[in-house]
Amino acid sequence: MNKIKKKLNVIRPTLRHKKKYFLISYSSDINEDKIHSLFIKNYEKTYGLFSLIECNLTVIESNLKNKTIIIRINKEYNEQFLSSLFFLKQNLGLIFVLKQASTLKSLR
Amino acid sequence: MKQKYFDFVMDDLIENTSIKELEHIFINLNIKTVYVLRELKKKEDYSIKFILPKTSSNKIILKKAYLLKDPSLFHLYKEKEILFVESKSLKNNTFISTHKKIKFLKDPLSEKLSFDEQNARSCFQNKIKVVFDINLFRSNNNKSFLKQAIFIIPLLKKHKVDMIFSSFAKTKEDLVDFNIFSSFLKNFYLEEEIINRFLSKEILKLE
Repeated sequence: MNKIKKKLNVIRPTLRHKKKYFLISYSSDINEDKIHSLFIKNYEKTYGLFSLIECNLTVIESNLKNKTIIIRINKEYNEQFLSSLFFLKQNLGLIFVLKQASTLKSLR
Repeated sequence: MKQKYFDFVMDDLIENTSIKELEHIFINLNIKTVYVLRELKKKEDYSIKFILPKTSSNKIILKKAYLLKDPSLFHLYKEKEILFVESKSLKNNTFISTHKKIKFLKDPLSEKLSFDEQNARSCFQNKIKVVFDINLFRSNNNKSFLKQAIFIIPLLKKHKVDMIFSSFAKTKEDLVDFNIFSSFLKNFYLEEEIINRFLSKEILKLE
């Protein structure tokens, strides 16, 4: 019996979650392995598990030399994300939000 | 055009960090006016001279300000600079909020809730601005301060009392990016226009 392979329909751009990208710099020294879990744990501590799942927080790129990091988040949660950075003083030191953009291309 | 902010920092920050490095940080944080606070704990502190370092550019303006630890010493103050009077207790909150000459009440937060609706009403009547040290909310035992702030800030908003939020930084790590700061303030049921007004220099004008 021939199985007909069904292609998944691509979600229309208007229906996709809009994203926000942040370029952040910090002053403390931190391991690359820890940095991802640090943002995740801090967000979860501040806004809870359900908000963390919905916001889809992703570390896109981290540069330990320049002490910068690029983070992607669902656009509706950008205020919560920025607000959660307020509590990262002990781990990251002085934090600057250098740039925020809706595409990775415009951020770079 | 980007909004220019102000901040209050403690004199420890100026003493322990080079002015060049600080200037660079303040420019990045979009801070134009920096008020350097000196603590006045006892009578003798009034006679100590307070000299600010010179900045190399015109982009940053340093100004003097004082922080009075004991409200009962207020009558000794003769300077023209901004004076904050620290509260941290119910007794001091009542003393400051009913005082006709004190213009700024700093930190109505303490271990337990010590600020009520009557204090808020008195602050409005005597045109007293309430000043919050935001680094209290970043400390390890921040939960009680946050809990009190969630009650006090909407109460002050309801009574149309002006508020000032500042870092009172002792180290450069205590300083906060204003993107982060204004997003954080939205957790206290403050609208964007109100936050912008509280963070602009206009709020420091005395009536």
